[in-house]
Amino acid sequence: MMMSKDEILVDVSHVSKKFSRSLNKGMWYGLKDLGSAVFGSNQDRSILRDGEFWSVKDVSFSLRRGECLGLIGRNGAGKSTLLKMLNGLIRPDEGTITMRGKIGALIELSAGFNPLLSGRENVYVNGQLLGFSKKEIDQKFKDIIDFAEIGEFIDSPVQNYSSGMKVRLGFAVAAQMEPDVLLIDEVLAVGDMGFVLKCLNKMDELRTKTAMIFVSHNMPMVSRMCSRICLLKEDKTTYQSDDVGAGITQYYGGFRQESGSFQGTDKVEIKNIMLESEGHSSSEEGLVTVHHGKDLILTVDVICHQPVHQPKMHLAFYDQEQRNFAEVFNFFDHVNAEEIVGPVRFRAVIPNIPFSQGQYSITIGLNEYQNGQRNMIFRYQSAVYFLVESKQHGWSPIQLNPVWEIITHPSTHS
Amino acid sequence: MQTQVYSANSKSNLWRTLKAIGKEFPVAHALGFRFAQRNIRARYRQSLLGIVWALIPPLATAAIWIFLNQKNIVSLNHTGSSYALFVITGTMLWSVFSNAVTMPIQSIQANAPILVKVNFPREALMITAFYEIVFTSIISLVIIAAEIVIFQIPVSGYTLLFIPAVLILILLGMCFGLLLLPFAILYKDIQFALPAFLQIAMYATPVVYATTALSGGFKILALNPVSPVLVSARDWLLGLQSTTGLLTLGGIGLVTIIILVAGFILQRIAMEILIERMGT
Repeated sequence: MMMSKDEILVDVSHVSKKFSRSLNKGMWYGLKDLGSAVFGSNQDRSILRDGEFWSVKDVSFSLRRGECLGLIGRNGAGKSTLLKMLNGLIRPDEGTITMRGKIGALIELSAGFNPLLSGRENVYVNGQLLGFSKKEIDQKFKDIIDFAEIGEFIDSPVQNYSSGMKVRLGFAVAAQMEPDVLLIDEVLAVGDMGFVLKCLNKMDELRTKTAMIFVSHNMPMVSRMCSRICLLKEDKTTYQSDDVGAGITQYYGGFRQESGSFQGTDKVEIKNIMLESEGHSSSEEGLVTVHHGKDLILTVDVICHQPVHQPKMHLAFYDQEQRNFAEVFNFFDHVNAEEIVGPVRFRAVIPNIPFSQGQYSITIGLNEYQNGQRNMIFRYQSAVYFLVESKQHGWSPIQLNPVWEIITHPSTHS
Repeated sequence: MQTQVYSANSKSNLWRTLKAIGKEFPVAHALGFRFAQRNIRARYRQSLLGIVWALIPPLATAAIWIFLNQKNIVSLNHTGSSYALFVITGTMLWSVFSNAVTMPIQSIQANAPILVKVNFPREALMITAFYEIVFTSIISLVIIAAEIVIFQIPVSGYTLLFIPAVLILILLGMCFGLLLLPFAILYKDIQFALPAFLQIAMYATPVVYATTALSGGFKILALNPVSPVLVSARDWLLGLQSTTGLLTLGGIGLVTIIILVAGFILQRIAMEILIERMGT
């Protein structure tokens, strides 16, 4: 088979798809579409009828073997619709999709399992559904069982499986495909960590051989997998780039920064929280952008209505996945105030922010220490947000910058 | 390397659709057979009486009519054989037909979760329906065979003609099912109405009475295309004088197959529109 790196396997040209909001109208339109499909009437499919909306509007991209396109966007942005069109399940209302080679979809297939039949029987049914012959399944059977880690359960009815086992078995069958174009829809959200890693390895293996389209809400996964990004926005514009990180930042920017819960006493009132970096402050520009490696300055203005003894402020940094990945607990190293009262400003200069590209929030807490006892004054979850712009965006929110060198012929003595 | 183009502008071309169906038929057949095997294995796995349940409704209908006839509440004695035999055979054959009408819709409905996820030849589900109908029909025919043995009905070469007749009955039923299918998926009303409609249709077909019992305006019921097929299948099975010519039956068979092929094309064209509205 020809395996040229340059061949375009997926070509999507100005594709749109409309849907109906109302069920009854949808049924009626379905009937009409049916009529015009059968009798070939010349209705213009690119006109919205009453109650319809564009689920996908004017999307174009092309993909070569070895490339992986991350398809991201908020719920309802049209990702799954686009994927269904690529898979040939539904037809575009505008535009053309050209797919070359064998198309595989890595989707969670356990929905097709019959609960009363054994895992073995279901593997054969699902395998044939995905286009394998019985002989091929015979050959791959051991690999499937090994991949799914099902063991002796393979001959028990599937209804006795845990939900994780079902998903693993469904995925294991699909993972045996050797497609040219691979469509992946958020399958990795399920299963335990071990299985997720296994799936990722499998996908890495397939990535070089296929043109891959990966739909996910999991941005670390997207940045790990994808070489290109297509962000579907709610206003039906798209953002496309080879810079996956930039696309992810745009995606995150589309969410409202909602501050989290506030727990606290009425001893202290927060007047203002401000972030600054390189002379730009959040009070002027809303969301502050910090360039990787630059300083971030946090200012918290409070009014202490009652005296606070030995205050200690602490910070916790959260990423978009709500992972708490960094903390600040060094307040007493710098400040040791016996008592504060009235208007007070806390200020922290955090040097050399080593974060990867993305949006982060800071949770701010204030405690007081009295007679050796700690009392919480307040804890403000995700009190303030900021963006980090960086060329580095990986799995991890922290990107270290060590100094590297290559020493040729290093002497073992030194 | 195969290339697939999905375009808004491509008109569905009947001939091209038919060719595509033909090309994928072997795969569809293998898959459909596998599905049928799965469904049949699974269906009765959690029941004690199993397949017997499929026979109870037609036998119950037959029992009611045998009772009504014996007590002379209704009198239907133009049947040419024992009424009990006549009516049991009739209801069994009708159950074959009504099963064939409902099965295609049921098959699509039951497989909606995979239809909206996986691109496989959609004809597979019709083949599944066909094999499931055949399986259930064989059970019904075993009952009929039992009565033939018990009542010592003379068996001749003509008896075997019931096989093509039953086959046409099944395909005819599937035709109705296939043509209803797109509407039944869009509008659930059709699924709700179908059992009641089939019940009424049974009395519009000579199942519990003989064609000769029809008189006057009721003769119009003889135009029902199911009637000649069902009646001749029964006549051949029970060794009665057949009232339908082989030519009529062959003609119905031919028309059935043409409509069936048209139904397959319709189904393929309709499916992408239906999947949009399935939304699972």
